[in-house]
Amino acid sequence: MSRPTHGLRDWLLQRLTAVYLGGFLVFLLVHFLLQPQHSFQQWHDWVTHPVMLIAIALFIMAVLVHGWVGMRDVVLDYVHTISLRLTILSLTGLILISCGLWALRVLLQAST
Amino acid sequence: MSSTLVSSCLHGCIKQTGILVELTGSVSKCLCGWLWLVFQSCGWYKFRSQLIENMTNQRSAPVYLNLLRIRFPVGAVTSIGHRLSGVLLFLSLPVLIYLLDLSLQSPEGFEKALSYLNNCWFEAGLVLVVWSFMHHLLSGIRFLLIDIDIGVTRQAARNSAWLVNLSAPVLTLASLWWIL
Repeated sequence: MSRPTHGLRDWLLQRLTAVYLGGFLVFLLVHFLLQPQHSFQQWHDWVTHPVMLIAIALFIMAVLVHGWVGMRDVVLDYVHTISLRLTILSLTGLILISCGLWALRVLLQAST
Repeated sequence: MSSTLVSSCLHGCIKQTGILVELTGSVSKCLCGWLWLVFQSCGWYKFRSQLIENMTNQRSAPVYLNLLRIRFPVGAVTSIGHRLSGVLLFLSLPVLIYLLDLSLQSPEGFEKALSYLNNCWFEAGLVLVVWSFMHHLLSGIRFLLIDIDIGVTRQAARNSAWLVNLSAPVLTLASLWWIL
């Protein structure tokens, strides 16, 4: 794929995920301001509600995409040594994918 | 005969595209104008790649950056804060997922996750993470609004940058006071 198309796609992905992340986080903030949860059962039931499960799973995927594009831009701008750049980028990818799988596992475990 | 037909057709087309352009213009004024955003981003991308080209062509020119003498405009502080907070949020991701995991495992885990709020090391980290979160969210909203042509003028952009830079710490303090 040619570079410009790639850059534009990432740029747009960054904005689209940002809208979802922002909207969901504002919803979370408002929700917890209105009804703070103090018991395990309340919290567990809230997270494992089917709608919330899907919303959170979507949120995690959006975080992975957003985090990858953002971290990659930052690394490309400030790290110029190719070997160091590659190392940091692969570590970033590794951390993001592990975090994503871990979070999905947490959701699956909580829902069963 | 046919030439008048063609010219009237052309005239109609031009008129219609004019109306279309006006329509898309008004759609861009509201938040749902994402198509328009794609359209604009093509232009933005061209501008950016040209800029990069110019910059790389002038590599041979000496670069003098004295960090003590450069004065950042307020928008630059917001922008760098956005990057810094983004990196901090990325680094805090494993800890946040650990807390989510712990809090969903069992009632004991839930209590343990809550008890971290009394740990002073954890609290120090929490200040950073909450600030990062607030700053990233607010400046992110600011960037998205600027993308769709809201608050683009220099004065408006400066005002919103000040607003973001100042309200992030204030909101951080407020939310910490509320949590702890």
